[in-house]
Amino acid sequence: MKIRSQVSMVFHLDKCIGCHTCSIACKNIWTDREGAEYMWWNNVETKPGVGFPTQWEDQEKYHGGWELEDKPKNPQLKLKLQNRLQTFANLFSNPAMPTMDDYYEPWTYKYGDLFNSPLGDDQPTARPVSRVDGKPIDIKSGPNWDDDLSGSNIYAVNDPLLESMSDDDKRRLFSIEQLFYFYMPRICNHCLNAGCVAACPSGAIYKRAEDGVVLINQDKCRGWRMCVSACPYKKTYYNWATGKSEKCILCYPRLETGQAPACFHSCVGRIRYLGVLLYDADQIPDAVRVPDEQLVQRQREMILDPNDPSVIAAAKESGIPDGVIAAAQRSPVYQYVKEWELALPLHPEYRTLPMLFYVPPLLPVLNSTQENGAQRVEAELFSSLEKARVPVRYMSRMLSAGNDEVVLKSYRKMIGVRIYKRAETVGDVTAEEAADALAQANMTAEEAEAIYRLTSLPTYQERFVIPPYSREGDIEEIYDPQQRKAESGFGKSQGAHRGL
Amino acid sequence: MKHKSEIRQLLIVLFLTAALAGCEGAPSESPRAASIKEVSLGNAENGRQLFMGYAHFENEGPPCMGCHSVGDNGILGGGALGPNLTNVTTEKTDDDIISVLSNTGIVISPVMLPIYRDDPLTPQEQADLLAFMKASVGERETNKEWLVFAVSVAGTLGAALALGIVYRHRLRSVRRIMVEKAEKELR
Amino acid sequence: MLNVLLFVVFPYVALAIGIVGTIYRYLTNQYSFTSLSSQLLENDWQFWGSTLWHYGILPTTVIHLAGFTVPKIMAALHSTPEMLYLAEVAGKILGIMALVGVGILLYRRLVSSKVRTVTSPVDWIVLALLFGQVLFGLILAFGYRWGAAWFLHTATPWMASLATFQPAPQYVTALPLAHKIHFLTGFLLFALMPFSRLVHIVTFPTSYAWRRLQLVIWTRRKAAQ
Ligand code: HEM
Ligand code: SF4
Ligand code: SF4
Repeated sequence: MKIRSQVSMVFHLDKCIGCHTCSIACKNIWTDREGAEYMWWNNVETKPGVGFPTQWEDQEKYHGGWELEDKPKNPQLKLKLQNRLQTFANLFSNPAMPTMDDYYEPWTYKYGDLFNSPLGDDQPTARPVSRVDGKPIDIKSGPNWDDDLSGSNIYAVNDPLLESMSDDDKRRLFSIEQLFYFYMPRICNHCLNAGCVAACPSGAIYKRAEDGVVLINQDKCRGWRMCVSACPYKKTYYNWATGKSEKCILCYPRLETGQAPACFHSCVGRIRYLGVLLYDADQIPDAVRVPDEQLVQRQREMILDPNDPSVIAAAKESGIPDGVIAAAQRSPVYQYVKEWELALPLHPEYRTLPMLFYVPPLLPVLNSTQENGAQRVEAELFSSLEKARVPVRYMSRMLSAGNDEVVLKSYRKMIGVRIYKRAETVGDVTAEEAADALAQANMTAEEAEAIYRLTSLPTYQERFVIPPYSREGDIEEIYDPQQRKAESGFGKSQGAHRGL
Repeated sequence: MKHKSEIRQLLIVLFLTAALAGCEGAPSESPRAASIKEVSLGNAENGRQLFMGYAHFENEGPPCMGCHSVGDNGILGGGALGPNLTNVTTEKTDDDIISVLSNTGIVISPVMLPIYRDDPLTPQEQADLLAFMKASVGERETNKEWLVFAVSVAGTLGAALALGIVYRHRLRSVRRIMVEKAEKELR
Repeated sequence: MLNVLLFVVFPYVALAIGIVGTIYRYLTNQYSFTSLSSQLLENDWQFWGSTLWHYGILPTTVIHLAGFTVPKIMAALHSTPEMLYLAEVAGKILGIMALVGVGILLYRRLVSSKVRTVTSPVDWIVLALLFGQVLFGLILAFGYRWGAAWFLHTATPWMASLATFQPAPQYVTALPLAHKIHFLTGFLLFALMPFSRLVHIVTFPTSYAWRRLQLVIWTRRKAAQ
């Protein structure tokens, strides 16, 4: 058993209010630079919708992620993008490179014109200009152009997830009384079997073993852009000004000083949880080669119980410090993902083993065949789940590689918690009904209470259990710290700029 | 953190290039001009074989057709770095030609000098070549430049077509196409 | 005298600048090693320009190097007129591909304002020189047939003489002007390498052929080693 630790994440979608504060926090710290304006290491999408970049989930177009060979015996995993040989052939013009238009062309306004225009008959205006070439542009797209379903008859209808859904489901999605939407905040998943790492011809991308953060070495990156294509989540971006690729760094400088990443820290809905997971790295090759419907379960099996003495012993043997093991024991992510099985990985079928998990949104639980207005919603919850406002199939396409049962199990628990708490606080549900609900969801009252507490009332310390880092010590063994004095962000004494 | 692998790769390539390039062989033997008697024994057919490169020079010098043309020889003709030699024997004396071929007299070609000084032609070869050139006097000279050009351009178009086919599934615009299509359907 | 300057001194100086400069830049400023792709900003012409260019120029460069290093093998490859024709036509196709490719690359830089914003003066110089270099290469190939044959007995011994530090410029000094321009521009481009994006040539990612796909790095273990 080779145990590694991973700083992992849970986003509770029911709590996201779509305010984009997270995106702005990230932008202000990391990507407000020339060449990076169009990047959104954190972005928030409206679902159903096409996302950012447009239709990124359509891997027939973008060729991201992994694919299982199509043969019954011992199928091997391969990058959907290309094999090793093709990589060399594709160096000169990457055949799966999105263009800026698929993201959007960043712009600013000529605010100066408001002050400097000569006196005239008309109000001066601030025209939008491109932040690439400075020319006036006609703004036709943006990073969240279809926010809150705007333009849904152009964008939401083209959501790649709708393709496999029945006409009935689709009709429900777009009839005014029935339509729903929710927000999907996305950052890099810091995958265990990352497509970006595997595709990099220069070997510039790596996973830090200590915390699992996936980083691009800016000195080693040669700008081939294979990571951009191979990441199925389109979470590496090419900086057109420096000629290097960049991605979410999970604010590792903040983590190392005990602070949550900026998007977590600033999250208004407090939807974000961060904590350590211990996993068995030896299982990775097997876990990514099971059939689609077993992927979620198999990924959960890799994650180990940090309270199990044998796991603790093995973790110590693998070089994991005691402080990290202690943090893993308090990890909210472990509870959501493994103990309660509420949180699910985004698109596990890409087989990158993403380590960001989502609790599916319950949304207004409303039966689509509701007859006479006021009915007692709770009693019908379980039976109505199949006909719920959010089609289960939509969620399972997104969070469990099409395995409805995995999503249903998560939903049953959430509904069970609701009924249980309702019996306690409102009282229009009897204690028997509540006990029955818990039994159907296969959980105890203590578990329901714990889920309720961590979902609704968590403190900052409960949401973010950041392991103690000793990076100073680690780094001191390699570098003379004095030598790094007065250097900037990426450990460089010079600013990032284009080569000659 | 500094990485060295790419520079190692560069150094290996440079070293190999320099080492191999430096291994070029030394001159084989000193040249000798064919005597009048030897010249008279020249065989035109052997000369053609040597000129065109079907037969190889004893000292591995390059075949003449790399730079010269004679008459209608070769599907795509001979070379064009040097002058056309179809009627050269009517313009120059035998002595002068042997002088050029053997680099022994006053008449020499500055381009051929270093080449055939390293890999000299034997007297027999000189004689055969001379015989071949004499036999070709008056032959029709065909200009095949256009043919070479046409074949190459056709080949380039073929290569471009192949690239286009191999990469036909490359990622083109997603957003623009999607929006244009949806807008058309709405109208 | 001028010949010694152009065909002995200049090549050595250019090689020295190219090699020492590239290594110096690699050791001091590795961050600047990238091909500075502009595919994100313009992808339609980029595909045709870059693939035609690289698929043309890379084999051409390799063939030139092979001509310098393994002339015997190269000579064996065109030992009959028919094989020579085949080799020549293949070479000319590669050359035309490269010329059309670099032409497209120049064109897209001229017309796309986005690509123009990421173009430095050196980019223009390098692209223009490369265009000229390939153009003159094709002038030699078509105007002075058959290069495959005479290359090995003019340029090759000249390069060999440079490699063994016994310079023998007489192998090339008698050649026509077009040849000389082609040779000199070649060395000029080599000298320009460390001052331009051409450094991306040395970053060819050979090790991807065998490296492990997933990379996990322990800072601590690395330190312990
Ligand atoms: C060793 C193999 C080579 C590789 C892997 C390679 C790769 C690349 C890549 C990825 C680009 C960026 C294209 C883009 O996306 O915009 C590029 C551009 C370029 N390469 Fe290469 N290259 C190689 C060899 C060469 C050689 C031998 C030359 C010339 C002697 C060359 C000249 C150029 C030039 C001039 C550009 C700029 C084109 C432009 O954008 O205008 N490359 N190369
Ligand atoms: S989500 Fe992050 S770690 Fe995973 S493949 Fe994409 S960039 Fe790499
Ligand atoms: S800050 Fe939090 S609540 Fe607001 S959009 Fe981001 S994830 Fe959602």
